[in-house]
Amino acid sequence: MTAAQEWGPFELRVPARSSSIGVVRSLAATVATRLDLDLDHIEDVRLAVSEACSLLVPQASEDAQLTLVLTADAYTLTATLSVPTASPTALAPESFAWTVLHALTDSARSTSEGGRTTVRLTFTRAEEVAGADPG
Amino acid sequence: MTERRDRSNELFAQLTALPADDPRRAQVRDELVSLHAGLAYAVARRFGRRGEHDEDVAQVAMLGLVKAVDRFDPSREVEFSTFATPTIRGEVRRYFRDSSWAVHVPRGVRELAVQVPAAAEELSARLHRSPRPSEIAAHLGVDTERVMDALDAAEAYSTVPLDSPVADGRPLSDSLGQHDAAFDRVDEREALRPLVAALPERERTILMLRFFEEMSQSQIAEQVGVSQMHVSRLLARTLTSLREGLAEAADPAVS
Repeated sequence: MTAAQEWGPFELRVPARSSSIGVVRSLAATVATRLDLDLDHIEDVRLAVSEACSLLVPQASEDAQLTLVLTADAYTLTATLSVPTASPTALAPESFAWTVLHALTDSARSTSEGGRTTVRLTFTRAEEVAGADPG
Repeated sequence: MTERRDRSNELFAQLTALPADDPRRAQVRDELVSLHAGLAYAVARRFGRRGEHDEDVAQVAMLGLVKAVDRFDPSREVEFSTFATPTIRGEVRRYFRDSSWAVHVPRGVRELAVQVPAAAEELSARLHRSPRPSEIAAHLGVDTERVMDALDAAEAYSTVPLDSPVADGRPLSDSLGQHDAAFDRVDEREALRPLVAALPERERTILMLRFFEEMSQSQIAEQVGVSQMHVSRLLARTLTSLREGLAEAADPAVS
């Protein structure tokens, strides 16, 4: 598995409930692990995806599903989380959750259109450390 | 009983008198361990009968005993057994905590899951950043895929409690969040201040370092003096508690 390999998309659909968050977070972390991100970045992915879920779950329509799509190219891992929303409300960009998301990701943005609210998170695969041999 | 206590005191006195690199220390230590072995077995028995682990538990208890012998300070006026029992018990508890997913995880992975954090810390110190799974694999001389499995397995266990349901059976956050969207962010900041202030010192420091100083978990681990995995767990727990606290502040009826 080379770092340059393209990955995904991996897609996961779960009931938009907080009890699903653990599963969503785990898939994201597993993909990050298998992309050979360093341990700090794996933890960042895990926390950020978890945080994004917590933002989205309350927005979801009743009995809706939350979708996570993970894609990766040579430079970036992207996690796109979305839920259908009955009445889309802007996610307050200066809330604590966003402070957390911005600290954990390279970019975090949310959009609301076509009856869906989406949070897209990107993480750099930190190419500069690739090839460093700890042995 | 008294005989054992006298002998124990005598041996600890010897141990204290011997220089750290004296080869005779090992012998004295061994005798102390076998003298108090009954203590370890007693603790192990109390935890026993939990499946096929009994033998492992006894070994872990012995390991706890060895640690207790090494850490015991005879100048404090405490009986060795009083000092050692919590140490041994702690060791056994840690074993159960770390191996409670053992049932689902092949033994090889379980063993690796113990080696991986140690290797990760060693590499972090050497590289001044956190290592990649492939680097850990190279360091341990095992297949990268296996390290990845071990990392997954460790996490599968350690993150379980974070979303665990509260008393009424629903996860707390299910009842929260409805208010998040409508939550005025100025109010949020106001609500956050006392919550952050109420955090234990270390949790608050870690939170600040991570989100306001934007330090990595490894850097924080180094600064605070705990492992990166521990930083990760504390952060996750702190975020959960802040989120819950905010929701309660938004709707006191939830609590």
